[in-house]
Amino acid sequence: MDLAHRLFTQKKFNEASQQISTLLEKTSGNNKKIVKLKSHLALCDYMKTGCTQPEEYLETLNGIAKQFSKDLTTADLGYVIYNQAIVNYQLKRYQRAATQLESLRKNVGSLDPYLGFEATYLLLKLSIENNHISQSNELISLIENQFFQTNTKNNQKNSGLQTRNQNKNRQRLLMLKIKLSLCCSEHNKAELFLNQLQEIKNRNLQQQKENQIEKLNGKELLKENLCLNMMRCKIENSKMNLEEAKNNLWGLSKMVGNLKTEERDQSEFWSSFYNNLGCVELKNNKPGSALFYFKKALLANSQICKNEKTVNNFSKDKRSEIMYNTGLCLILLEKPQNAFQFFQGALVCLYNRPKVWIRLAECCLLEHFRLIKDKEQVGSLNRLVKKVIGQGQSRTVILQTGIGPNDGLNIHEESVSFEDIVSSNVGDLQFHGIPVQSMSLDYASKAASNSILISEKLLKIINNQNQKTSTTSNNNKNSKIDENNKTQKNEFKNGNDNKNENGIEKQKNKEKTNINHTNLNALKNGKTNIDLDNLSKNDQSLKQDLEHGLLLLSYISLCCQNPVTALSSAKMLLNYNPDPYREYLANIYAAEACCLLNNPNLAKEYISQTLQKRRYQVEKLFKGPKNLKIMSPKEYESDWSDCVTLLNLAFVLILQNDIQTASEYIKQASRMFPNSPLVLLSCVYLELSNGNNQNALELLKSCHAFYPLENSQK
Amino acid sequence: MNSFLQLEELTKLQKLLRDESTAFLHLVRKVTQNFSNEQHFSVCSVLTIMLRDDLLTREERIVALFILLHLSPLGPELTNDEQEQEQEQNQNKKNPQSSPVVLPPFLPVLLNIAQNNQKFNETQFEALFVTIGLKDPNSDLFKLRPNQIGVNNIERLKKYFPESSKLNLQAIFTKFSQIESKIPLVNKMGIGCSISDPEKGKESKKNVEDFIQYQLNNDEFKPSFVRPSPSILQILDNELIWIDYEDETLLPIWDQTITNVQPNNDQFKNLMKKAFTSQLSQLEQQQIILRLENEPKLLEESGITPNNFQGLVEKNPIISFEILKRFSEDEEKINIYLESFIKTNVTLHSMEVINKLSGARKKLNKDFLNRFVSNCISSCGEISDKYVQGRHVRLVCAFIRSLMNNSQLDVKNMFSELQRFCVKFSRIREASNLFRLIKNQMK
Repeated sequence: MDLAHRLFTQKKFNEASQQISTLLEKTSGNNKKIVKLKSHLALCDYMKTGCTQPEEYLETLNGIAKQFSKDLTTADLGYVIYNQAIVNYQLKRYQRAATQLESLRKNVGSLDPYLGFEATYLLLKLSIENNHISQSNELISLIENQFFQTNTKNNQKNSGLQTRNQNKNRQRLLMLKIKLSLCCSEHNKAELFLNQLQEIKNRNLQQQKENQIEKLNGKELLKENLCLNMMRCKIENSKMNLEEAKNNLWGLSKMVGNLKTEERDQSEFWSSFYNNLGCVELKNNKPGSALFYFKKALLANSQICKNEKTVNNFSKDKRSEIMYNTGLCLILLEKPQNAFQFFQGALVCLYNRPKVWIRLAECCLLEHFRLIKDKEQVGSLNRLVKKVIGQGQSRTVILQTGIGPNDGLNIHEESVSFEDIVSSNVGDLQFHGIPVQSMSLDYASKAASNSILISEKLLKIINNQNQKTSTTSNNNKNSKIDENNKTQKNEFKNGNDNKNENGIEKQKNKEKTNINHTNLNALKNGKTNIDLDNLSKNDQSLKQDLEHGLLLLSYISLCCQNPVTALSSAKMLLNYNPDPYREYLANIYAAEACCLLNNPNLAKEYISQTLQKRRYQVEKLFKGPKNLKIMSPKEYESDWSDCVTLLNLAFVLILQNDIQTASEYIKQASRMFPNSPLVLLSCVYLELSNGNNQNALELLKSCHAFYPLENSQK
Repeated sequence: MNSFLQLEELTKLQKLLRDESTAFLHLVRKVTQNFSNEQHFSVCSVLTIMLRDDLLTREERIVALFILLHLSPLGPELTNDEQEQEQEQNQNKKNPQSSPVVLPPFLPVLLNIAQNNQKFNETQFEALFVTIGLKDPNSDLFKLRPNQIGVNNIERLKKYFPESSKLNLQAIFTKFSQIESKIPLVNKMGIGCSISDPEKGKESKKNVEDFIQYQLNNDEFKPSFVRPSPSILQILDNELIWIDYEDETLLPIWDQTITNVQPNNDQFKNLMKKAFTSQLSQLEQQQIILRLENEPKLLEESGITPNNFQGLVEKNPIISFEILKRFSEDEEKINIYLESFIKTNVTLHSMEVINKLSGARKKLNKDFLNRFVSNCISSCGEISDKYVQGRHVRLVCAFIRSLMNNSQLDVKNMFSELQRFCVKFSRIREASNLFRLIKNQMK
């Protein structure tokens, strides 16, 4: 066996494979040994193909695990399970990898220490990547207690090799600690860890020089250096020292640029370099220049994809991440159509993040707003006159013929042909295998639903973790019942019928569909069963995602003339105690849905709630990033929100034939915004209902938006 | 464009209508030869008027209907099945300018005739003819000449009725009405959507006012619910994805424990050997404990003796406690090992092990315990450094209290010794507290 291992480390996989096969023939009865021999054989075969057949390898490992699961414990099958997890991790099937690693973590005490560390380390890495802060903290303390001795004197007594391994592992753990600290926005802590890491590395270098043993080669040293410096840039970036971060990044680029290595070896660096530079620029409110760098990052990244299709290259391919950043950039540049395509591309790997779905829904909405705005501009908000053409005697007025509620984005989805999927152009870049759906309100509603489902699921996990630490066994029973219910409802509104080039994406789609439809009934009833009061600062953004998803769903449902979903999602949102801005909008949407469902009394109740809490500090909430000029600011002034409330209340009263009270509200609104077309229309209606047609006409004439003739004369 | 034909052209058309010797399909060719594409609309208009006003003979009517059928075919919106239609719509949506919804203008005339199949014999024949024409424009029927059909012979005509045709006339009617409903009312009424500028003269201004009045009276200004749109979610700093440059490549790992798979206990023995001289990691300690739990007999191979046991106590107290626990059934053996505690100096770890043992075991050897406690007490006096002594006294006090709580220590037997100890170190709070506790117990 030692010989086989030696052959394996010398990358003589064929010989190693033969050696193991002969050993396997001789072995019988000892299950543990058979498992190990078989898994080694599978590993040799996998390496022989240059890691290009991950599915086959996984299948073999699955077979081994299934065959021996009855006779052997999880600890005995530890290496098999770990290797499955690592391949799944490289294939970006993070959920599956996490489940496998979790089973190893439970048995960490009975695992071989080397395996135990590697499994816990990978699980930690995964949990940091998924922003599971509390779990990550738990894992760090587990690693520190289990695998690192606190007594330094004893360390010195250990064998040299073990100490070196531990030293290396300590560095790896420190790197993850830095990442975790940055996730929690604890910059100082991150800096402290980074300095520690730098110190250890310096000490090691000095020791290596003194002892002249096991020197790292230049390439490895450079990689270590780059990795460390890139992390320093990340810290500077999160500390908002943008200029410094940028300068450091350029410094790194010079270092790599001077190297005489093959371009494909550098592409991994360049893709991360340009992406990170784009992030700095975007933070610096320069979306145009950020877009330029993101595109460069995508080009560099495509070099990685062009290399051999190995699992390693696949795991290095950060297309989804860069595309997501590019999408954000395009939103800021008010190009929702392009942004939509990039977010679709990001979905391939980031389908488990609620924000991607939210952004997709928002792209559809922004396009919807744009189309409506275009139409309004053509008609100048005029419901009768569309256009005035010609001059003098030949001047002609074109009447409006088709403005209605279905204006804007299409409600229904359009099916996309396979050819469109295969050769979709995103901007001036061409990608293959990106699922591109058409923009529609239906798709927006599905995306919003998905964001709700995912954020709800993640919040439930966090909730359960919090409960575990603080509650009695009774609560655990309840959560088990919940989980059983969850598994019964396996539904996921998948907006993509992905047709990808290879099996890797296909598998991911399967995972995608495995996201449980956790709270379908709750959505129908507008009730929630998640306790959101005890969330940590980091989990608050998840809560925000959930609330925003519900708000979007409610709005989109109204646009799609689906008042039932609009009402239930608004109700659910109100149950989560949202911030005043979302509470205000949720009440308005719920009220409109009630009107559509012919329940003006309930609508009045919802609107009254917004009136009771008048003078929201909406300006503060609507501020957002400086670059966002998507909404007209007037719409979000607090006075305007009051005016909207008054007009809507008047509308409900008109529905109830209480014109007199309605007129009071409309008058109040007209005092606030006398020139607003919406207010004027309501005033015109009032005059008409009082039989003052002439007054109504005069009112209409006074507003150029309705009577462009006068306006054009001016 | 004039929608009517000139006299010359009308004569040509009449000739065609009366031509009974040419097969229907050839007639089409003649029509296209005699009339340009632009004139087709006029031809159809004239034919429609002639049909409506009953200006033609029955034979001529059939020919006229045939020409209408061929010059005004069904559009793809009406003929395609649903799937095809969807595809068509999708294409239209992609290129909205390419094909606006246009209905064949003379289709209503043909559809009306096709519907009238129950009135009279005459119209029944025409209805059947039109239906065949709509369903199967290339029917064999049209290879015949008009005089071959026989205008009254419905049975003969029925032979040509295409049973297999997918075309459903009822569906066409429904689709037609659906498409028709999308056309703005102004267009349907035939009113042009442009009017001359009312500002040109007072009279025309009045027209606009009238128009607005009309709109007002028709509830056009009824207010609608104001729906403010949500803003986009703020892009937070951590939303942008920073790509870390990784210096490590994770690969599947080779199980190097393969040679140790056969449990030859070497690993355990080595660990135990190490445990006597150095502190083990938590994981290593767990491994030993786990092995001992699974294979208690391994204890015999562990190489442990009363002589090296103290080393284990000092380096790995948890393991030594576990071992003592396993010895506890053998009274003789445990006493031998406990004796080693008496022989050596009292330390924090030795107290910790005995304390744990006192909690786990029902009753410890009284004699041993008394001797160990008096050792502990005397060890306090041996320390010269006051600070270290104070700390040690505190630990001893806590140890004695714990033994008393576990009802392991017989206070009566040791009262005088304990009292002396407490009085000696009365400056330390823990000692005076202990004294109070002992006194209370004595009462």
